Amino acid sequence: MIEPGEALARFWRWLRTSTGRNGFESDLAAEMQDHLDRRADDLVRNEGLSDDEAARRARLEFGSVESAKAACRDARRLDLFDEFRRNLGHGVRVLSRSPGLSFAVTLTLGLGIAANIAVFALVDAALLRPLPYPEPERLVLVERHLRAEDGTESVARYQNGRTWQSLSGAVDGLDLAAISTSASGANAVAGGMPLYLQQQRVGSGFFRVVGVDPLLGRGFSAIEDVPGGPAVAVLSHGIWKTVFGGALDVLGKSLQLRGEPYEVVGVMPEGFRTSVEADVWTPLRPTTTGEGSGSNYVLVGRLHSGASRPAVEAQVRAVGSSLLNEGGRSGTTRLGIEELQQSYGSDLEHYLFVAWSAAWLVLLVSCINVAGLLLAHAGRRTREIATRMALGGSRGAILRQLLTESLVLSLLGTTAGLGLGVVAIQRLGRPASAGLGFWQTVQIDGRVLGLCAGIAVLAVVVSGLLPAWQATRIELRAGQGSSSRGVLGNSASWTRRALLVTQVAAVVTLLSGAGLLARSVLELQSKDPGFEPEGLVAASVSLQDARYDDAERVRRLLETVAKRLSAQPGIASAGAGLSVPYERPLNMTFRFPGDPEPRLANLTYVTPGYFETLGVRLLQGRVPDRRDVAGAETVAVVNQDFVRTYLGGGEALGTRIEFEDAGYRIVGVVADTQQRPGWGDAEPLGSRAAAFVPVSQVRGEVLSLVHRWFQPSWVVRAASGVDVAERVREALAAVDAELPLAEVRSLHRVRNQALGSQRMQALLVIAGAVLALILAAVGLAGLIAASVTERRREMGLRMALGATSLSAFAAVVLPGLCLASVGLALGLPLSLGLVRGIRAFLYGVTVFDPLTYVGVATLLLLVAAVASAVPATRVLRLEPSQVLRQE
Amino acid sequence: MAKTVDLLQGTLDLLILKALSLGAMHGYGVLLRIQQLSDDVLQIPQGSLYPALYRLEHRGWIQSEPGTSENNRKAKYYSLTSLGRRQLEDEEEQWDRLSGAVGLVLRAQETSP
Repeated sequence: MIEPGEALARFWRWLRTSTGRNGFESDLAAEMQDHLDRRADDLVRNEGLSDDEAARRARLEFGSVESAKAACRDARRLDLFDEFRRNLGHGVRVLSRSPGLSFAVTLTLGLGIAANIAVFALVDAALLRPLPYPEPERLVLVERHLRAEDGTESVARYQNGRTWQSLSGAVDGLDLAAISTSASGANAVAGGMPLYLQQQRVGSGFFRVVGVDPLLGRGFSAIEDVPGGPAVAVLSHGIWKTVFGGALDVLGKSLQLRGEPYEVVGVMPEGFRTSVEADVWTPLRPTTTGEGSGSNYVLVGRLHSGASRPAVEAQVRAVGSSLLNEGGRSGTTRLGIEELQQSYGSDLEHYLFVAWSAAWLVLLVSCINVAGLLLAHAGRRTREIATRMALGGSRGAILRQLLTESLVLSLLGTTAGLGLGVVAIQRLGRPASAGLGFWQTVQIDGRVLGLCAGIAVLAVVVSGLLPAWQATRIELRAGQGSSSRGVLGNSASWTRRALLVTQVAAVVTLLSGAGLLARSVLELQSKDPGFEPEGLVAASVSLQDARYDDAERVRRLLETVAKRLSAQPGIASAGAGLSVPYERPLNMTFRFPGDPEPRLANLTYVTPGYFETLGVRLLQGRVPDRRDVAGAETVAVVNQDFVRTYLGGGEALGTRIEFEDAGYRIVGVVADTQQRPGWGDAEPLGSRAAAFVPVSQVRGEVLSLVHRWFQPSWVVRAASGVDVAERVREALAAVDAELPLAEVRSLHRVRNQALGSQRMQALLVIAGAVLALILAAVGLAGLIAASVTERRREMGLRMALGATSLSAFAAVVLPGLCLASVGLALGLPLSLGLVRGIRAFLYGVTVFDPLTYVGVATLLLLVAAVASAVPATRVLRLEPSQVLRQE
Repeated sequence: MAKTVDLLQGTLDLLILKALSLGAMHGYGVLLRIQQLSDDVLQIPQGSLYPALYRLEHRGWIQSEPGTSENNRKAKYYSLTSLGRRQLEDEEEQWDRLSGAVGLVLRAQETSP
């Protein structure tokens, strides 16, 4: 009995000698020669022979050197390796004889593997690979669990300033820090060089909490992390290297951010990142008003070593219950903690699960195809195999040869898959990690490569073992002497049929999922966005600038530029607002007078012309105009969702609301516009309760608070061909030459991007489904072609006996359609079961959408009919007399 | 020349292991050592020595490494591994049992009817 360890060691020795073959041969030859030399020396010394005579005798005594060498090789089982090499060459030749099919199989196997690699890299980054911080399992996030009236629970990761204030320092065993997880683009100047940097604000103690010390200098102190505190900044390693040349005396230097000088107090080590890739960090300066009145902070904590998680959680919950239920509501909201990676991962689990399932299905279908291809090959070679076995070839050897062919295919597929997967991760990794809020980069690492190797092995086994086993099993029966057509026994074609049915079922599942996702995207796309995106451009500007902390200056800038723009030829209208559709809007609390209950709504300040330019429908009352100046009555416009959510759909006009202790009277109602898609939102393009107020009636403190991380935009409706970016730049330069534009985007493009992830998801599944469909069609065509060959004689006989060629044609095609129908019949209930998994990604269609299933069935049968009919046309050309004479 | 005896199938492995248990040696040395120890009674066919060495090495009972012999000649030296030592003990025991049993059989007296 050989122990596994010893077996492995033997295999390793075998592999080493096999691969180091030249070394082995020369060593062997040298050893034999050494033996002969020593023997000859002894003969010279002991028996006094001459050198030549001694050498001759030595060789004579030894016997055949060559057969000794061969025996040595056998002792090492090198014959197996030689056989493998022969098989490899043979396999490559066989496959290169059908380059089209080999290419198709390589490609599909490659795509299946690439999809698996790419999705696994995401899974790895989101869920498996530990976060790149010391003891990441002790990092937690404060979560707010909300229970809706219908009993469904949702989890919010963003907390407001009061929650932060109450938890800060109040929980034993938990080191907590607040951060903002949205990086915002900021204009910066360093050493006279203008820059556009990604800035993230983090609270004091954040670097300590994640456990990464700055490479140089320090993080933020509590004194710096208060509103109006000193302006200090910590640089990323990259910015320190590129902008400051990696200078060690960078500390104390000045970096101008949004028009304000910041003192550099620290540099983070290389590779440090949070859930965003920021260039510079500044103190969060948390508040309970303005930004802090809404849920805009993420609270990250580290459990002290030895602190028990349940004890910490209980404290957090206690703080939460006294805080959240002050307003009279109870039991609907509670605070808790969750492991950091878990918290972010849980959002993605579902999405990644769907993507991974689709990737596996595609892989399964391509493996089945490889199996079908090899089965057909083996079938055509039964005579060759029979001869080899009759001549004493062992079953094992033939099995190994057939497996080698699938090894070649799967190696090709794996190589293609690895290449495609690397390209996909390089192109999609960064946007994906930014878009999905990963705390680390998406990358190809050992795990991903390990999975790839695993899949390759699986592909060989799944695609190769069955045909190989089948081929050698058939042989036993072929030996019993069978007729000319029976060499490929019935069981082989039954195996092929079973494979085909499985394949069709998998294809039906993929097609159904793809169809439902496609319908969802179409449905979302056809939804009324609530404004006119065509010909609309948004140009944003950063106003976190010391010169714009006064409401009047902000108003004048926004309105003057808008007015100048509308006066330009080719520009129909222009306006400005704090945010545009699809952007993340400012979320703030407001109250109805006399009601202490805080409520949430998106708040946007606007200039006259904002709604007109966007093309938002006014439903009631009026929109802000030039009458609404500072000092006049403060007014607001709300959207339909606001009226539905907070006013029960009743009369809105005249109702008063209070934002930040400033009262506004509702004077108009506008249609809902689509907003930024977000994970965890009920719908990707929903709209929320929103209120709009004139920029002239917002207090300066509120504006400068808001501009810390929101960039207002001008919206411009222009005729096509007008260079809007240039027009806005000119108009802005005329008013304030020092203020650069941040970003100019067409809203049509923004709208498309808003559905980007849904479209990408649908496209991936559709691509997989189409590929799988083509593969199944090829498989079916192959099967029918084989049956035509097999049944030539039968068909010839039938036609000789008076059957028409049409009925012979039908006799060949019908089994193909039957197989497809069986696959369909199995696949439809299977898909109904499986597509439940993607219910969360469907909009406007149910999982039982009849149109989709009818479409899938029709498409499948149509493709099956074509795939069966094409090879069956050979029956039509059959000449009965000729066929009968041949046999 | 002394009278020589042909080797029993499988005994070659045992003899090689035994020879190597006395110290690392190259192939030709193994051959000489076995002949010397048997007073030139056992003649090992030179051609079958190396396949046996390779087989034993493949099984992990012996290992080889390059070394230099007398008069600075390079040679491949074989030595026993711990696995081989255990194997040798097993085989010696088996051999003792076998030769004892064979001896018993051969020494049997014809019993009178």
